[in-house]
Amino acid sequence: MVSGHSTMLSGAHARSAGAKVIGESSMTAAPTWCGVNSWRNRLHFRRICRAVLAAAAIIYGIVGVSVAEAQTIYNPDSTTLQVQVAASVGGRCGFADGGVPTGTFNQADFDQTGFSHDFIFTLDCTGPSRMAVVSSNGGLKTAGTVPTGYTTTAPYDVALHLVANDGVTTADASCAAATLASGSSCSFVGPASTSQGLRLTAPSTDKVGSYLRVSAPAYAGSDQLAAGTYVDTLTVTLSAAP
Amino acid sequence: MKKIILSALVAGAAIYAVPASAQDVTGTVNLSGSVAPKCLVVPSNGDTYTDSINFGELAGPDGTLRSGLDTDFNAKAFAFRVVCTTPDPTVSVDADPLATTTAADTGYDNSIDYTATVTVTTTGTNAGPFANASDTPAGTATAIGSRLANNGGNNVAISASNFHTNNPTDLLVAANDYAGKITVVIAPGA
Repeated sequence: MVSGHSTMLSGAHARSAGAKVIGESSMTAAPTWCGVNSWRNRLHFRRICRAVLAAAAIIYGIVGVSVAEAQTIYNPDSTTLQVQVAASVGGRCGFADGGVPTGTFNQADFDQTGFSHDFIFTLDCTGPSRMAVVSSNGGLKTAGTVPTGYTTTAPYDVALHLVANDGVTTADASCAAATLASGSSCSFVGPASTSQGLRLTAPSTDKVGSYLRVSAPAYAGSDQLAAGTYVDTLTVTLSAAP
Repeated sequence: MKKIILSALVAGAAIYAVPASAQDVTGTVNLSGSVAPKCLVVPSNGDTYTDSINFGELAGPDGTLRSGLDTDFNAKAFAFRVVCTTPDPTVSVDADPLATTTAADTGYDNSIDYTATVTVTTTGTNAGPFANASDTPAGTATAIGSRLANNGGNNVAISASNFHTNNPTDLLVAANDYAGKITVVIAPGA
C-alpha cells in the first residue's frame, strides 16, 4: 500500500503566548524555542530556525500525521520556502497474532517410521511477501563422529505453502534440509528479504491454509545412521516483497 | 538554506527506509527424533539370517565319522552383512552338535561335535574371532571393539572346524535326522 501527499510551508514560527524567552530582550517575533533575541544574532538564528522548522515539518508529514496538523507560520520579513514532500508508507507484513510458525516436533525411530508434520502459520501481509527458511544443521543431526559407512545426519525435506487472501494465489516450494543451511542452494534459503525467499505475489491477511511441512520417508541411505537423538532448528523469516 | 534542505530530505529518506527492515519477522521450529540402538541384517533390514548345509553321508567306509566335514562346511562360505547403529556391538556364538535322537550304545555315537568360529570386519579395534565348541555352554556376548564395517560387503563370517565324535573309534548310529545349528547373535551392546 502506497500513499503520498505534499504540502507547502512558509514563514517562521510566531511566538506563542506564555512562552519563555531566554535572553536580554523580549522584543518580538523570534521563535521562543530559539531562545535568542539579541539583535546581533537574531537574523542568523531566524534563518536556522526556519530551516529546522522546515525539516521537522517534512519528517512530521512523512510519518503520516495529517497535513492539517502542519502549522502555517507567518513573519513579516520572512521569505517563502517551498518544499515538496513525497512519502511512501509501506504496507505491513508479519505474522498474524498467534500465527507465527513455531513449535516442536519429535519423532522417535524416525529412521524406520519416517515422518510428516505441518507447522501452521498465518500471514498478515498487506502486499506481496517473501518467506525464507534456514536449517541450523542441514538435516537432523546427532552429536559425535562416525567412521566411513555411518552418518550422524539424517536427511529430510522442508516444504512451504503460502496462501493469499483470494484463496487462489499460492506459492509452493520444497527443498532438502541439506540445501537450507545458510548460504546453500535452496530457492527459499533464508534470511528473507525483498529479493530472497519464496514470494507470494498477493496480500495475505489472516488467511488460513499456509504451512511449513517437514517430512522424510523411512531412512534408506547407504550410510547407516548412528543411534542417538537427532535435532534441527528451522528459522523462518518473512519480509515484505514489493 | 540548500544545505539545510538537503539534510531534511536525507532525514526523510531514512525514515522511509525503516519500515522495510522492521517488517522482517521470525519464527522458530524445533525438530527432534531418535534412532534406537539396533542391529540389522542388510540389505533386507531384517533381524535374522538363515542358511544351511547338508553334509550328506556322515560316516566313512568303516562306519566312523568321515573326514572333510570342515572342508565341506567352509566351502559354503557362510557370510552375511550386519550393521548396527551403535559403536560397539556384541557377538555371541552358540554351536549345537550335529546329532540324532536315535540312541547310541557304548562304542557308538549319535552326536558329532565341532567348533564354530565367527569373524567380524570392523572399522577399528577388533576383538574377534569369537568361537564356541558344541560340547560346551553357549558363548557369552562379547564386545567386538568398534563398529561393524559398513562398506557394502559382508562383514560377518562363520566357519567350523574340529568335527569329531566322543571317541575316534565310535561308530555313528544310522539315522537320517542328524541336525545341528550355529546361532550367532549380534546385539547393539551397551
